Amino acid sequence: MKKRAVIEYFLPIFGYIAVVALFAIVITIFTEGVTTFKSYSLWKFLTGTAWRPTEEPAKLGSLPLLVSTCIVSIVAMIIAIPLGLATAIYIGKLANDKVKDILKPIVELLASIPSVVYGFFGIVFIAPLVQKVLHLPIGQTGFTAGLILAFMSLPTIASISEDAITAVPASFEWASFALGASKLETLIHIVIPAATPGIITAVSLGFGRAIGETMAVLMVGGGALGMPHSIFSPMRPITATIAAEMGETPVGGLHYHALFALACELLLLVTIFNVVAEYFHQKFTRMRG
Amino acid sequence: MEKTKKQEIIFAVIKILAYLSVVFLATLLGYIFFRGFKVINIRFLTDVPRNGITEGGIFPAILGTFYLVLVSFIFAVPIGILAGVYIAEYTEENRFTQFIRVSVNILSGVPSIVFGLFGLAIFVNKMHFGVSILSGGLTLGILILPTVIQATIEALRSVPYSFREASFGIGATKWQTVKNIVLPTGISGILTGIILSIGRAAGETAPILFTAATFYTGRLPKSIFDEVMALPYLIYGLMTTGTFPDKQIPIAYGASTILLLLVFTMSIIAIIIRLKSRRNRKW
Amino acid sequence: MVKIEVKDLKLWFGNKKILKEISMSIPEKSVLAIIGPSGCGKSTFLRSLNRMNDFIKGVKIEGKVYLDGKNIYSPDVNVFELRKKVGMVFQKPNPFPKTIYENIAYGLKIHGIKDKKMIQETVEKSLRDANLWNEVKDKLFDNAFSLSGGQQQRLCIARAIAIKPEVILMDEPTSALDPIATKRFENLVEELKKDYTIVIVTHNIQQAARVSQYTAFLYVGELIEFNRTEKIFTAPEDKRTEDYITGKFS
Repeated sequence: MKKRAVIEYFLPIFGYIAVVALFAIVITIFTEGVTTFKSYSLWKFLTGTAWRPTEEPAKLGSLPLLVSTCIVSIVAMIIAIPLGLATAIYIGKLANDKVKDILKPIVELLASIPSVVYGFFGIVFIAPLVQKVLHLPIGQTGFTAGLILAFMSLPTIASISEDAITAVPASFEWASFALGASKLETLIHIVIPAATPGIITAVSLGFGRAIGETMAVLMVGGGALGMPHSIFSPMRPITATIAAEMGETPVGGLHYHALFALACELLLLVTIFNVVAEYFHQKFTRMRG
Repeated sequence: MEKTKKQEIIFAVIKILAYLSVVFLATLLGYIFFRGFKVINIRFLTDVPRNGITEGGIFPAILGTFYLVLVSFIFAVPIGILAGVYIAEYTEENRFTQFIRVSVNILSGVPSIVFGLFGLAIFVNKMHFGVSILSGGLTLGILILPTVIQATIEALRSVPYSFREASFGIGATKWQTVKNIVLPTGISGILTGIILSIGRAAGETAPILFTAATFYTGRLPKSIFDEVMALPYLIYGLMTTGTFPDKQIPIAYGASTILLLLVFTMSIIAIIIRLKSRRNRKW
Repeated sequence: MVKIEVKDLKLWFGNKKILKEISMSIPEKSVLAIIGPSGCGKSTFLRSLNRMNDFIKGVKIEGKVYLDGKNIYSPDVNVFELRKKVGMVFQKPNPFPKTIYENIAYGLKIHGIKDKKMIQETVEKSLRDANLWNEVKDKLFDNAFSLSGGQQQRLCIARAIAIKPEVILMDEPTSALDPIATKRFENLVEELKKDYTIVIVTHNIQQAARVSQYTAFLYVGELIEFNRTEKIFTAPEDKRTEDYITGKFS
């Protein structure tokens, strides 16, 4: 048996770095966040409808922020899922090789645009456009933020769904064509059902990105702190609130910890969503056999 | 034939929806580049901002972004590659390695603002690095770490097992095989992942908001314990806290253009490397 | 009665000519075996009988294929209706990742049959005709992939005959099956020929001798010999046919 290289003794340490980092992050965020509830009621934090952290006494009702996060992400998904799936189907099944070679990199470029640039484009172009087209008093709304988020999560949804669609064995399609089915029927009844677990993963990753996105919703969401009346009112989701307020609050105070508590809420939301997505993923994988 | 008619209409709709993202990208780039290139010149790239960022250049922000990316690179790339090597080459498929890989996946899905909070609590406050290049670079490093690990694992997995057997067959040790055969064969995949994560680190704002970035400083950083200007934060600042929008928004266009060119260069290099390696692959 | 008449069929993949001036008449309700060495174009020929080659890029087809006197390559032909009449079974069993029931019901739904009772009856009848009913009647709603390879291939037959085709094309249907499953499959073919015209591509010369009434020998894209099976196997006219069936080359 030959001697092991020195570096091989250290490799396992690096192997666990991601686990360590993940635990460090979760523990840090939760310990800092939980401190809030030594002096503020958890119930009031979860159900309160007023977020006024600088008032005396502070009001830390996070419900409007949570609702805003949900509205913005759901709007984003309503737009991004059809667009992303259509892109995936087009690239995966309909486009010829030349078009495919152009479209795929374009989708990748869309994914690489920094979120602050999306936010910037949102302010200078999308918000005024939304305001004008929908005759709104203000262009920076939850809907506008959702629209921007849709294009930010589209590449994730499109590329992972496309992988799932192209991974469906061609023999299924041949069988369907041989029965006299058209390309469309084959797509709807055979290919997409077979790709469903992959598509669910794609959508859940896209949704995760939308929930956690900060800069674009901060810049385009309009920043209003009250409970949103409609998707067309200005709002400030959880992420945007943390980003906007952390810079102006003293370290170690109630407000500081409350912002960590918001991050806990965000992490829980993402986790719950992932568990649900995983459940459906498993269910459809089993159905497929 | 009704069947083909229906199909034609639906496929046309799908095609239009698919091209919407192209239209969106083209509009975004056209709109920003057109205004951005108007303000970009040598002075814009090399001068410090003047008069409350209404004149002058954005050199400190470019330099700051470079420093932040550099620190995150030095931190994340070696560790990420070694972690990937360990997971791909030195572990058997079992519950525990599954746990490691799930952790990597979860880490890559943690919202970037949460990384920012973590950096603030640990690097800035607990370790007393303060708001600095070091704090921000480390925070960005942890952010891109899972990407580097995932790229490494995927690249190494794509190396055929027979390559390893051939190397063992001539008496090479495991590490010699990994170092001389597996890593060089998978290098293009790893490179692609690294380059993409550099682009990501350069463009992220939320993680550096409270760990490294400052909206305006007249001087250039002297050590890694200094706070810095950074391109993404500059754009954010100009659009939200700026007091002279007429003069500052054009600068934001310029900064956005520079930032876009930077990340696109990274993406395009990555795409080219991938295409080339696919074309050169003989096995 | 001639069911399919092939006239001067030529086929190219790009510049490469795969099929050279093939002509033959396939009699109704009989089994035609197509034999020949790998790469001789037998599968391509088979796929040109239900226009499955339409999907392949760079394919060019000339000549005519008449089904009941109507050229299937004429522009007014509804290719979906054509494939309803000319069913196909593939080399590897390829059931859909759905239940056994849905696998068979799919073709019916595609062709506009919505009546539940009728679908149920057809599913049962098709499975009976495919000699599969007794094995699966208690697990119709199990996933089709829970079946064995041989059962899967018979399910593919059931799926094909559910939409009442007139012709069934089989592309080396037993190449992925073990000997026992192959035997059962061949028995099924024997029964099916009472109602259907069957064209079977096979790599297995003995299989051709066992199941077919007519045999066509293809060699490098050319039809060398077409005749009654016993004639081909006892007194082939062409030297190459003789060499092939006696195993001098394969």
